[in-house]
Amino acid sequence: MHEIEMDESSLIISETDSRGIITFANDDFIRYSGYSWDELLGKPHNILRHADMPRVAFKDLWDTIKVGNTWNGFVKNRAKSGAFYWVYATVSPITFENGETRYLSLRRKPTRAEIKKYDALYKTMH
Amino acid sequence: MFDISKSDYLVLKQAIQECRNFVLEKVNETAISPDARSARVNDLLHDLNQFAGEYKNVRDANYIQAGMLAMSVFRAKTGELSNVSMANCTQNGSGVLKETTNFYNGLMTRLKELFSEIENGFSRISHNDLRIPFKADGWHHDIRALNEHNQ
Repeated sequence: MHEIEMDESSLIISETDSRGIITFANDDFIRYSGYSWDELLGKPHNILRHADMPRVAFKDLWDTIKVGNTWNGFVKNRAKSGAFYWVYATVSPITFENGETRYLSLRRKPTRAEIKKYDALYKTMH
Repeated sequence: MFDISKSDYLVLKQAIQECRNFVLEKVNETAISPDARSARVNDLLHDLNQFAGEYKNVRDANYIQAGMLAMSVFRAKTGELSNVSMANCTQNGSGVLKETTNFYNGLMTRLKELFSEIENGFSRISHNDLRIPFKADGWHHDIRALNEHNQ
């Protein structure tokens, strides 16, 4: 399957609840994932999970954000079409006025060198 | 130069270049290892690595704050008016984002008050409860003012 390359100016934004269920996705999320808003709302965020991503990367993500810290990392996502796209993700817990915690994820374009490095690293982690 | 060997000079120069690329967001991560021969250069490399880490915290806070703001604006388009937490502004985020978020939250609060007044006004109209006249400077005055600004 072919690779979709993010634009320099793109910023993918999404929000999930504490169980990882999508509660918000912006236009760039919809554009790169290929899913419509109706297909995304209420679905688990791992709808985008690519088989090449090691489980330990997501464990590290959840272990980090569950204790209130911000996680950064490189993630290979799977689009609806089966194509893939790499992102540099920043994920952080956010707390609302009613005390509810959700998770905000921002994704930007990684460099080719970063993709090459993490593609090779993740292959060793399966 | 500065009494350091050429190899250490090149290591230091490379580290500064990496910091520059990180700050200008040409790369997403940087890790500077203190692997020079000179202890003094290693001390500088250690500081650079620490400064890059501190900058990363600022960058993350700004991105998260901007992301929350963007998300709130997207939601406002569909009628969900909500304030944005200032949590990421208070520690590491920029003053510009703090002010922007302050103004945004003030606008959301005012809009919510306005819609509440409108709802109350329509409720009174639908219940034929016009015993107390609407205030001259009430919500209809605000809407008129908004329209005048848009013309």
